[in-house]
This record gives sequence, structure tokens and C-alpha cells, in this order.
Amino acid sequence: MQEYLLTAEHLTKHYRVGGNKRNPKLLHALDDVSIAVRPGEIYGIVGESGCGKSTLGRCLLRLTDLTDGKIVFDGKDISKLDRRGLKPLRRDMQLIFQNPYSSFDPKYRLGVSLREVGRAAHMSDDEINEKLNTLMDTIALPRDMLTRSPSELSGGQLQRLAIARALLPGPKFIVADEPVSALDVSVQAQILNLLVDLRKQLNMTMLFISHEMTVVEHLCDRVAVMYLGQIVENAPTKTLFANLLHPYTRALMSAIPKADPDDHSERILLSGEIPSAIDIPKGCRFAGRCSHATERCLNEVPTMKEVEPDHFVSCFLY
Amino acid sequence: MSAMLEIRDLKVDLMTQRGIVYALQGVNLALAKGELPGLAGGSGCGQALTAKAIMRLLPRDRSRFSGSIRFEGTELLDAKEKYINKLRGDRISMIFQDPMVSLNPLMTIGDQIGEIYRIHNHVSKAEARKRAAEMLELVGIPPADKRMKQYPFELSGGLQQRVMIAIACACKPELLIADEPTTALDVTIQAQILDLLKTLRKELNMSILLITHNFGIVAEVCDRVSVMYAGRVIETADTRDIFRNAKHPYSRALIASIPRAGGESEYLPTIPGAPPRLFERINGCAYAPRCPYACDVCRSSVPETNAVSENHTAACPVMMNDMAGNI
Repeated sequence: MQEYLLTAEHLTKHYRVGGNKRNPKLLHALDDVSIAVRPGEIYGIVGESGCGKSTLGRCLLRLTDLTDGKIVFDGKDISKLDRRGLKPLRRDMQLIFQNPYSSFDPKYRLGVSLREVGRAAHMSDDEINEKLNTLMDTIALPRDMLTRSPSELSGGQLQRLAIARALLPGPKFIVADEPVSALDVSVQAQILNLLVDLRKQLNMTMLFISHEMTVVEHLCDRVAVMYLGQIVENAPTKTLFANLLHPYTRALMSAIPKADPDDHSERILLSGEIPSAIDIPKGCRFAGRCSHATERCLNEVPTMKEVEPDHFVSCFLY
Repeated sequence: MSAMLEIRDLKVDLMTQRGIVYALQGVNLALAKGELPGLAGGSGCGQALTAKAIMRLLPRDRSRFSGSIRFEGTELLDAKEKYINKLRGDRISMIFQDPMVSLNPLMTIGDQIGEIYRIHNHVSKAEARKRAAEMLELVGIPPADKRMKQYPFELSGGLQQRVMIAIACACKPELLIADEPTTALDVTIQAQILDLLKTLRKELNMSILLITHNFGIVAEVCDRVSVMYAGRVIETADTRDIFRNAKHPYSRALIASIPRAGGESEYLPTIPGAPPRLFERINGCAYAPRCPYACDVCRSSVPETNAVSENHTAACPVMMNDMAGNI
């Protein structure tokens, strides 16, 4: 078996937001991002709004064109494929969205929404029905749910069905974009448990995008922390959380309100907000908000360094 | 300590197209001056509705009320509209989850804050502008003279929420109701906003009723917390007690289901089933169908709220039994 199911090298995605052809004004959604996902792994991407984590997910699925970079999926370079070339891949790559209420057509019965995906993947009706039956057991919902409309179900039930829909064509790779963020904590726990089960049963490979450090720590095997279009720290979950290195990762972790009244650990309060992705700061992108920033950070761009085995960080402190 | 706000047996029925929803089924809540209690629970359990009932923001023709909401001794439920209009924005204010939809997109920040002084204090435009600028400094958005002329879309979510807070606190209210004020914000910005609320509470000496589903926020900023389920307050306790010594099985289950840093177990504890739909009044404990400790008493009568200790009450007949208390 190959070591990685998916590798992305130097992914860059710029959006033109103004200016003219000669002198375009660019929004740097992603700049030189590289990740490698092993089969059966849940790979977490964590960061704040606007850091490019959703863009990364969409780029990996080739739902948008890349400005630069290379994606190899299942041994095949998919970064240059056109629509037609991508079509056979769609079966193998699926997406789960944040808001379950808006991921289903409100006028379709749920079964119709789900079967549509199967047909698009050229599955026969028998195949679809058989698969749906097992999937409904997996997500622990009664089969008659499929005859209902989305408005009759709760957010947690809909998110289960969204997961079932993504699994229906038997994908090799799933991008889950904040799948639990819109849910109550008790429901969130149910969905996280379901994902843990799925990983065990199906050996599913998943890119799990989230803004919550605790959720990522709970679920993922490996984590990459993003800030303003770049990965700043990247390591196996245990290694990373045992030894947070990048000042941004530390601040992100310390900003989480701890559900423990006796935890009086000092909070690192970041001043200011994430800078605009249009006027990218020179040097380290986090330097403007970083308490450790030096002259060098403001002028030079840090590169990824392996500080301990398999723990990468892009910061001049190390 | 006398209560500034006292809610007794508040029931609210909403007339909807699908029938009557018995949304609040007897809420009891009290709040003293300068306090910062939390109001927690899952979605649809009635926290936001309680806030709207206090602010009298529910449509009178499509809702029915009973019980009492007293603010500084005055009954709000049947108070005249004119009185409520004076109270709202002056002595009681509210901020909402999504600042972008709460701010007026066509008015500058300065005008939106100044408007409050024009309405409540009848001051001149120049005076309103001056006070609005002071307010902007107070909520930490310098330089005020530049910000005054900006429109909401020019600001980030965190700054917009600061503007909302500036509007709500313009008249130095005695009570601020904050309905999930940081849910739409990033954690680093959330930390900044929570800090701001804590500072303002001290500087303006106001009480804040903080509605949140996030027990992390409760632990970090609230003095005590009331947990709601299916339109009732099922437990009220000091923050420490709710984490260490919660009595109601629902409070316990909610807190247990939070993923924690350094958590060792692969699976999180969950609550089976879903909250009830409130199309009828529930006779008995609304949580009983999902509760592992439920017994016949729970299903036959609405549990009374009993004192556990001085500042701790819970509505669960089983919790008085010590055996269940040790589970």
C-alpha cells in the first residue's frame, strides 16, 4: 500500500479581488501549503475564520482551480485535470458541510437527496438501496427517515444523513468542513462518536476542518494549524498537544474557555485581529500579534522546521 | 441580597402555524445587582425566549403570558408599552448573537450609538456624537473619530460586536442581557469580548445575564448558572458547584459531553434521544424519557425545585436520594 493517500505540495490559491490584469489586487487564500494524508487517518485542520482552511478543503477536492501547486490523490496527479477528467474521481472524494439544514434540498424527501448522489456515481438502484440499508444502520437512524423532509428532522439527525450521503458512493477520502460546529454540545458528542466508529469500521480517510482545538484533539490523528493562508505548525495530535510550539497555536489553545472552574491558567490574550489576506504582512504573518516578535520576524519569512521528530513548526523561535 | 430581577413561574405560549407551542413552562430566576449569572442549556430549551420575554420583545398578538417578571419591584408583563420603551435601552439592554444582522447597515456607527442618547436623554446632535465617541473608546475601538463615520460592513465581526455592546451600554443600563454574544466569533476574539464584558460590568456596575450554550464560558466568567431544559430552569448553582456537584442528570450529562483538552476516552458520553417538542404541557419531568435514573415519580408529576444547599437548587426528585447522587 502506498504511504500516502493524498499529498499536496506548495498549494497556492489567490483570488483576484480588484485591480487590473497587469496589476491585479490578490487575496491570498492559500500560500504554499503542503500536507500529506495517510490512508485511514483523520487529518485535522484548525484555525480561525479566514485562515484558508475551507479553501484548502475545496482545493484538495478540486472544487476550485489552483493558482499553483500539485495534488496527488491515490497515486494520480489531479491538479491539472479538467471537469471531465475529474468526474470519475468524484465518487472517491466526498464533502460534508457545516450546516446540515442548508445541505439538503428542503423540497426533496431525504431519500431522494441521498439516492441522487448514488446515481451521479453510476450506482444501480439495487446497489443504492442495499448500501442505504447498511448505512442507515451505521448512522443509527430508522429507515423510514428517508421518506421524511429535512424540516421534520433535528440538526443532529440531518448531519448523520449528510454523513451517510457522503459515504454512499464509497469514497476513499472525505473532507468534513466544520461538521459539528452548528450543533449543540450533546449532539456534537454523538456525531463525534459516530465519526470514531466510522473510522474503525470503514478505515475512512478524512480531512477534518474545525476551529475548535478541543474537538480536533479529541478526534484527529494528525493536526495542522493554519494562520492567514499558511500552515504554521503540523504534527501528530499527541505530539502537538504535548508540546505546543508556535506562539499562535499556544494563544489559540489558551483562548478556549476551559470548562473547569478551577483552571486558573494564565490566558494569552491576543491583541488585534487576523490581518487582511489582501495586504499580506512582510515577514512572519503572525508577527504583528505575536509577543515574541523580533526585528527578524518582521522582515524575514520563517520556513518549516522539524523541531522534534515529526513535529514541524514555522517560527524563528526554534 | 434583594433581587433586582425576579421571574416567577413564567409561562409563555406561542401561537404558531403548527399549533400552540408551550415554550416556557414555568421559569423561576432571580438576579441581584452587579451579578453575572449564566443561563445555559441546549438549543430550543428557552434561554433566548426568557430573555425576549424580559425585554417584552415577543409579539403580543401571537403569544400568551402568565406568571411574573419583576424588575426593581415593577411588574413588566403587564406594564404599559410606553413604560417599557423607556426602560428598554436605558435600564435594561440586550445584545445578540449575530452583530451583522443586529446593526443597521445604512447608518454609521456614530449615528447608531448617538441615537440612543437622542432618544433616551434628549440631547443635541453634537452632544450625542460626543458621548458616542466616549462610548467607542470605552469598548476599545479607537480612533473614535474615524470609527464614528464607518458603516457596519467596514468592521470585522469582533469590532461589530463591540459596537453592539457600546449601543447596549450607552445609557449605563442596570441589566445587560447578552444572548450568545460570542458564538459567532473566533476564540481569540471571543476571549477579547468576554474580557470587555467583565471590565464593563465593573466600570458601569451593571448586572449581566449571559445566555450561552458553552460551559467553558460559564466556568470562565459567570458567578453562578441556571440550566434550562424544555422551557424550565432545572438547576441553579454556583459555577463551581455545577461542575463539581451538579445534581440534575441533564446538567451532568451536558457537562460530561464536552470534549476536553487531554481527555483520555475515545468516546464522549452522550444523551440518548432529543429534547421534547413542546406542543403540549408536559406532566412530569420533561427529561425523564432520556434520563437513566427516571422512576415513576418523574413521569407522573412535574418535579419541584428543591434546595440542595444555600445557593443551589435543582428540580429532580431522584437527586434527593443519596444513592443517585453518587452515580
